Amino acid sequence: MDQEAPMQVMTITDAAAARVRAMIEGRGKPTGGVRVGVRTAGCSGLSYTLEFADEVSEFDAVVRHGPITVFVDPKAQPYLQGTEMDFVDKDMESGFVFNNPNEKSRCGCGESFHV
Amino acid sequence: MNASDNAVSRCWSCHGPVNRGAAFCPTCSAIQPPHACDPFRTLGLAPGFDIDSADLEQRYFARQRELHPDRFAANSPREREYASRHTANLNDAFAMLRTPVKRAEALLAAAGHATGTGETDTVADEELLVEAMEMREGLAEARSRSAVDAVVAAQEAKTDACIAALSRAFAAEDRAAAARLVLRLTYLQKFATEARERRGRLTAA
Amino acid sequence: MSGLLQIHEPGRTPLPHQREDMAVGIDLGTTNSLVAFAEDGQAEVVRDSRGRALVPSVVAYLERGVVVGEEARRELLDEAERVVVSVKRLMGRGYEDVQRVAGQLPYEVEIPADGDGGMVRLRVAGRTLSPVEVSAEILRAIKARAEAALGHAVSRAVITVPAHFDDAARNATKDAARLAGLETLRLVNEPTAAALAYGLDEAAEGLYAVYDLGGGTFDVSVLRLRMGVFQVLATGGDPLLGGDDFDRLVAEHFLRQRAGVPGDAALTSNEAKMALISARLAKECLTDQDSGSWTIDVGGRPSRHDLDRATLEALIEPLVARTLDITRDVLADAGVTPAEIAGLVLVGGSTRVPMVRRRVAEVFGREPLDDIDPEEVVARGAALQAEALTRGSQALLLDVTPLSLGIETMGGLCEKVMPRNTPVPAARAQEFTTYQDGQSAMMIHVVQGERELVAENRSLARFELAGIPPMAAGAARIRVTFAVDADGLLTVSADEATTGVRQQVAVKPSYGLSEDETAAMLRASMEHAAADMDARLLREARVDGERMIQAVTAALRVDGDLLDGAEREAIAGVVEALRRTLAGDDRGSIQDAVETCNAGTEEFASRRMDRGIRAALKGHSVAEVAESLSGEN
Repeated sequence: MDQEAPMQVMTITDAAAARVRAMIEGRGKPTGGVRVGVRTAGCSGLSYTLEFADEVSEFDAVVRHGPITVFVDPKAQPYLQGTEMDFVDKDMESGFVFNNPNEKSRCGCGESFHV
Repeated sequence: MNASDNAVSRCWSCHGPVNRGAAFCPTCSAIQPPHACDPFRTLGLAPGFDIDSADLEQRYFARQRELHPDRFAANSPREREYASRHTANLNDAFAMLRTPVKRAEALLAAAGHATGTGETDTVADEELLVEAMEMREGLAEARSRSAVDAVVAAQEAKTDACIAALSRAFAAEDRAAAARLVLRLTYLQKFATEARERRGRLTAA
Repeated sequence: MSGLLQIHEPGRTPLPHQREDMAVGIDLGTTNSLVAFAEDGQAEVVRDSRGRALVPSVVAYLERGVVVGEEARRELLDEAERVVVSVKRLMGRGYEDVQRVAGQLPYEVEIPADGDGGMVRLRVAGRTLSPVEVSAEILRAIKARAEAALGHAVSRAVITVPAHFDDAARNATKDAARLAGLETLRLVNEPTAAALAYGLDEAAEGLYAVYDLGGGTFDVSVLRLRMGVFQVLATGGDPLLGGDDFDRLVAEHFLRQRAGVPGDAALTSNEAKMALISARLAKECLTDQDSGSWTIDVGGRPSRHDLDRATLEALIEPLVARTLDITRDVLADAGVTPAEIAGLVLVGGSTRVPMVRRRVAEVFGREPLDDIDPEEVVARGAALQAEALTRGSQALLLDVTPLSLGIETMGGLCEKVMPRNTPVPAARAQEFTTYQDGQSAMMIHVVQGERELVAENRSLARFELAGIPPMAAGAARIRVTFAVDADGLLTVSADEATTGVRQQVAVKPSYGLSEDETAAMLRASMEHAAADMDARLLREARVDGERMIQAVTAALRVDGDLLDGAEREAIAGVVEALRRTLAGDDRGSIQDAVETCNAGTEEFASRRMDRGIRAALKGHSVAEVAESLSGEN
């Protein structure tokens, strides 16, 4: 398994880490990592945000996977305990997916969830 | 043309066989063009005068949920058009079956019996004419809301009795009696409208 | 359609579903318009950076270009002659219709050139414009606002119209949407949309009355909410009565006070426009205040005008009384007494006037529901319907025709074909016959309205039934079918029963735009028309392709045993080819693949038909299967 430390808020798969790295390289400006957040929006109440981390908060949780750093917004930490961030590459599309054990329901489109 | 050609038509979508009159293809579920059919069948009921109005309404809503064009907003224009025609038939059938007069008329028409409620028909029933005249006089003399209410209450009792008699006439397959009762019921309802209007005027005054 | 996330620039993560083409709900109002969208039954109104949801329905034709909304409204002070307000009142209207309000409208209307009906035109800043074009400008601005908020193109909308809007006005609204590059998913009646906003939020059951007094129109509807079904029982209104009329009465009052200015001056002058602006301000202020003072300054001649609430109420009393009369009529049509109403919903900015609220509450003997802003409730309902139509929903809207539909008979009388408050969609057939031997054509005039005389109703369309086979007078039996769809739009078809000659009738709308005119306008707005049209055709091709795949898959599941291995593989091949084209954006190749699929399954289809017919001859199977499928649920 690609888990580094048992106490981390969330884990990142190799595929996700590789993709994050590629995205950061493709961005063309120095980037410290990506930042994960949660906000109230969408059909099932909450939805994830996934953005390049230009600014980080001192309260952000830091998750490392090799050279890759993922920052987790303090507001999001309680919702993301034990979540695995994966990357999926299908014929038609590719993108990140959060396998979150706290999710009780998810909207049909998978873009938002409820805990 | 043989019997089977009439019984089976071709689904426009999957080109397979569909029972004539079915709203959806049994194979691919595509909505089919509607065929004319009697109001009872449209709502999945056996022809008959006694109808449970709550059950009728449930059936109407259930069919609307299946067939309303809004259910086909994401489908092709053809499917939306079929849905629209189905729903128009359904609305017609529901309007016909929900009121006792129209329901009775539909039953009599299906049995090939004239009802005598057309505009050109003259009323030969002396007894009915006298009753109608008395009701009008009673209403004209009612000068307060409570007086109108009393007239209306008497009329409503008559309406209920008339509907019960109509039910018995249909049960006994006495169509001549049913036709007479339909005419009487028409009068009673026209009178109810007049009474409501008069009550409204008294309220406003 | 997937839940896959992408990495975004900070602060740019789009809202869920943004990548999809979300349909919006638009309240295209007389005074203000607004747009909303809904997700999972939660409607949200789109606001500008300053939090304002309302876009004034005002268009200014300036030298620097066309501007819409607040910016256009500001121009009323400087270049009033270049500004169009309240254009909704002219939608689908003929010149003779607006005579009643001409002189009350702050711009010039033009008599249609051919002198024979047609929609009025406006003369603004040296241009001649149809109300449809002006409305399209408002819709373009609304569309742009929604696109900015949602972060993707918006091409489909549910648009609300007053319940009593006639066929011409409804068509005009759809035409305006088309010009603005919007596909109208559905026209929804404004009071019905309001009920939808309330009903879905509160899962309410029972009888509801919606009293909707907007800037230029008045509607009242009685609905029954039950098991997720919104059933309109009756509706009514006045197409030319609204808050604008309150303003006009106050403006006239002010103008009478201004020395040397006759009170009945046509409100086309700048003076009149200034008076209207002050009147509107005064009306709005008197919602909270008891009295106030306003200044009208035109040509350096300022005048001061005092107004208190009692005077305002005396001025508008006849109009309010008229709305209450209509309300009582609609309740009677619905067969409902005020006491049976479980909830009263007030809609439209004009219901903020305290007197209106008070008097309506008196009629119903209850206070109105006011959880939802009366100016936003219609757009919210429209957004919910847009979501229901594009994403599916258990809720169902059953609306009615607002006006009776009739045809002209001998002596200019109107014969009703479909009474008002008939549930839609609806279809009615009427039989006609010839009155001369060998007669080959007849004219049919369709009107909308409640009056006995054709001349007092609204002319909808005239058409000629041609090609009647020569027969003796009275022998031909021509069945004319009038169909009203869920949008409240009429189509007419006719067939001759004795010979079976069927004819599609070309209906010339009395107050519409002709196809040529619409096409010309579309060409004139080429910048988006082509792209919108392409997107729409691609969507339609996709729908067709997906349906084809589903149909063939279902047929294989049920009747696959009719094919041998090679045949099955061949069909699987054409289906797979179609599936591949659906992944792309090429409409042509999707259509070709659908054709190939059709051809490739022809033999399979005829074997299936043979089996079905054989089964039917045995007297069972297909019939039973079909019956059980359609009869259930």
